[in-house]
Amino acid sequence: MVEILEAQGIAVEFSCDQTCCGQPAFNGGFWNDARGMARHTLDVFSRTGDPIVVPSGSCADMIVHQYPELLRDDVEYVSKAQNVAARTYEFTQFMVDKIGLSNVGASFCGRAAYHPSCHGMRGLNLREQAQTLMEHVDGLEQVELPCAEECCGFGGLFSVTMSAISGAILEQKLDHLIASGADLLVASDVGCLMHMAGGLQRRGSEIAVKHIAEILNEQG
Amino acid sequence: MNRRTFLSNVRHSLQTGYLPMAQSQALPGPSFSPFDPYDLADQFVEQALAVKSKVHHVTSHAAGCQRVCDIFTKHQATWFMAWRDEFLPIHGLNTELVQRGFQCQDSTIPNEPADRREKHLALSDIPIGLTGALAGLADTGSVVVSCGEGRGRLASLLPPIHIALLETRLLFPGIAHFVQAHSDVAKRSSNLVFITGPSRSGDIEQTMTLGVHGPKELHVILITADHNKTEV
Amino acid sequence: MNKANLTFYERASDALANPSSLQAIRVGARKFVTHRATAVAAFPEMDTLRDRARLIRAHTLSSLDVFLAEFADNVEANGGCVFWAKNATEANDYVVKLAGAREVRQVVKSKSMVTEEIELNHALEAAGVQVVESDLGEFIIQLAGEKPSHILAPALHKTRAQVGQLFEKNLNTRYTDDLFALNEIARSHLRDIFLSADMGISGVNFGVSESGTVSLVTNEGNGRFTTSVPRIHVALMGMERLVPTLADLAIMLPVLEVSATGQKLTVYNNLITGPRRPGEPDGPEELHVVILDNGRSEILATEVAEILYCIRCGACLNVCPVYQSIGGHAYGSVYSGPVGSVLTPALMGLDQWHQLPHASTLCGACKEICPIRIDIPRLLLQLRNAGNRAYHSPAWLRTGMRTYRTIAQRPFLFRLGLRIGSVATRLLAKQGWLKVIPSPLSGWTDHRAFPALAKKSFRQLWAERKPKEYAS
Repeated sequence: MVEILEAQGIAVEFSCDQTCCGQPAFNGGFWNDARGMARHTLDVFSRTGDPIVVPSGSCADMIVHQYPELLRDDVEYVSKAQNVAARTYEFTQFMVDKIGLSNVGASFCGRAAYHPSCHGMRGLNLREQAQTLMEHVDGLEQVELPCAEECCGFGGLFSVTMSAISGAILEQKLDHLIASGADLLVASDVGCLMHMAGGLQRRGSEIAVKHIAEILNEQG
Repeated sequence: MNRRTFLSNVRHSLQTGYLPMAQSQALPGPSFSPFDPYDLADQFVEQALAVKSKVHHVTSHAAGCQRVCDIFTKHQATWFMAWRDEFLPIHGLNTELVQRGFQCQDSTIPNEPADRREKHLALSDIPIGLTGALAGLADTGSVVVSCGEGRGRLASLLPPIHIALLETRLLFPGIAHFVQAHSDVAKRSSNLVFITGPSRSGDIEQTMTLGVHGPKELHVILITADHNKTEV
Repeated sequence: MNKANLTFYERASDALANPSSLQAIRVGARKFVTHRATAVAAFPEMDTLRDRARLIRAHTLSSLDVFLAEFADNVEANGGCVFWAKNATEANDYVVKLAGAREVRQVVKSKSMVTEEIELNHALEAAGVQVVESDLGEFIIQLAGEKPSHILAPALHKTRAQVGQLFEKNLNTRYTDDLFALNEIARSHLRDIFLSADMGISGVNFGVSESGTVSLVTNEGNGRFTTSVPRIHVALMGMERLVPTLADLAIMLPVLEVSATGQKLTVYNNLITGPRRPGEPDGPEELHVVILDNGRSEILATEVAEILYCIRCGACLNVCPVYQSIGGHAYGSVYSGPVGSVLTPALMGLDQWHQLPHASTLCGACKEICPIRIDIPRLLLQLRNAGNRAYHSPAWLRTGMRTYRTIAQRPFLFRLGLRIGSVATRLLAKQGWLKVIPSPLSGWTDHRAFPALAKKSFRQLWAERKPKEYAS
């Protein structure tokens, strides 16, 4: 993601002090723990006023929508939360909506099915951005993933605490993926990717799994 | 629990509960554009057919009467139950049907429990019910049937065949329009039903089959008669 | 196995171990979704009406005491009786006493989730009153001795073959799996019951305050029979199921019905305002409306009051990946799926039901499809937080999360943790994957492989590069 942005002439900063947005704690209902991590994250990102780009729809959604709510009673941090939320973008959202860039001159051979992760899709309204970017990748054929908008079953801690249900939902998603005829699965959320890749590995599948930034960073 | 305590509990809860989008003022009513019911006839017919009603669009009371007789003949029916003559749009229809040899069963239900049960069971085999309609809804092909003196619930419920006589001038674009024009309908009638096709169920494997407890066939005689036509 | 003593997750795991029993649910839920989508495509105003429907529900609840009072006044003015039931016991006692006083021997019922919630049938049967369910789905599960598996379609889990067997065994009919024949069997069996039952019991889809009207929505006609033929009609209503005016009802009915069954109007939309009036040839002699609290006023006082906006369309169940995978019975309550995961713990308490709010990936499909746009994910999160504050989470998770937070607030520790994770996973991995990770995280590897972390973390790569020169 950094290389793609830099190739467009955008200076990228990464602070090694950042850790975790706190979503696992928030979704698990451990809100005091989530607030602790949120405050730390806000401290780190309040050091500058630049746009913040996140290679994950769910983390971006956490910052944009949940931080202001989570910290609404915290007099010191609520305005930091609003400030940071206003300038945080998921990666494909930043590319297409913020800087208006759909073609990064990438080249990648394959038949790709795109899985739109739930938090990005429903939380941040990310539906076409990734597909727009993929359309312009030379050599990449997009195939439709049946029932694409259905959840993959990751759900954060749910994948461990209710693993049997998570696994059952995953089986449905992988059946659809295999039916699509794709040899490549692309998504924008690491949690979903790990979960689906792990399932494909168990099935002995040859389908490759990539984050969209990996696709967009390939040059011919 | 008594009413006062019950409501007081509710009031108390409202002090702390979080109700998104709540506002204490009544919402402004939606606006309705004027319409001509005669322009709605085609849509009504299309929608009624789509929900598997049978529609007979006639332009005279005489033709309407004939259609009713045809339905009786086709089903080899002799007995029917009906709204009283003065509540049907084809005045004198019941009398005419009786003259043609069909028999009208009175469907008034007595008050005594045992008599009541007996009367319901006796009505059970009547094959045809005949009613008027207060209105029709074009967007869904529905007939609006109210009850009252001389207009029982059972005629549109008990028999396997229900014939509803609906005048085109009583068509509305949809339910919201109807309610706006008939805002006191609940005061006027203890039982109002919007009937949209024959009865059906999808409860087994989510697959629809027609004809469950309510009528298996709904015939709508849609009457577009002008004022000069004489009655039957 | 006594299902009542299992936890939610145990029931869910049991259900998953029998996938064939869930196939009917998955297929049925998908059909619901298709029907709804077809109806919405033909109904462009739906989205605008949903916004209005949300405002109507919000407005109603915000003055619920006023609207309840108006509703009750109007029911009584039209000759009906109103009973205010604080809880299930009071509601059941009232109906049982009424049945006794009126010498009711047989009751016919149309579908009512509220009566399932309070287990009214048990109470009546214990008092020697025979209860017959008339909604086809309810009739089927009554014969099977089961609970509903879906809010709208109680027998969604049954195939036609299973229904055929059930009818053959219980109604002495010849086996058939033809849908029309099965309907005919139900029709003729129930007809005499409709005509001779002493009391009809229904739910209420919406009560209309301005007129004291009870609105009932069905396709089969059983609702009309239940409320028109027996001499006594008892309608049970959750106290939140009101709308202020008939004009509001005219908005809510298509919104409910498109969402529920994909019909702009179901076959019978019945508006009942009082019992039979003088001069009317038929109808019930008495109408009793039982208004039920049973924990709703407590929910109304909390952050999750929004769940009371629900109009029971069932759409959230149909799109929920968890519901589709495990079916309705695993939830252990008459309200299943996303709405049930909020409503059941909210009504019955988190002590017993704290697992339910966690039965979700928070994908948001429920919120997207809800006709009233209820933010179910937000409500689930609220309940998860409330559950944890009451120490319902497992100890390992609580401790683990606190440890994780401590590390995440100290960048040095976090970076160290990543290094350790990288080394450990690469040591344990074969060809980049771990087959097993130790308990309590072993749930992951029960169903998928876990990837080894990269040799060099992003941070290390970042630290190694030189900053690029940029054109200004």
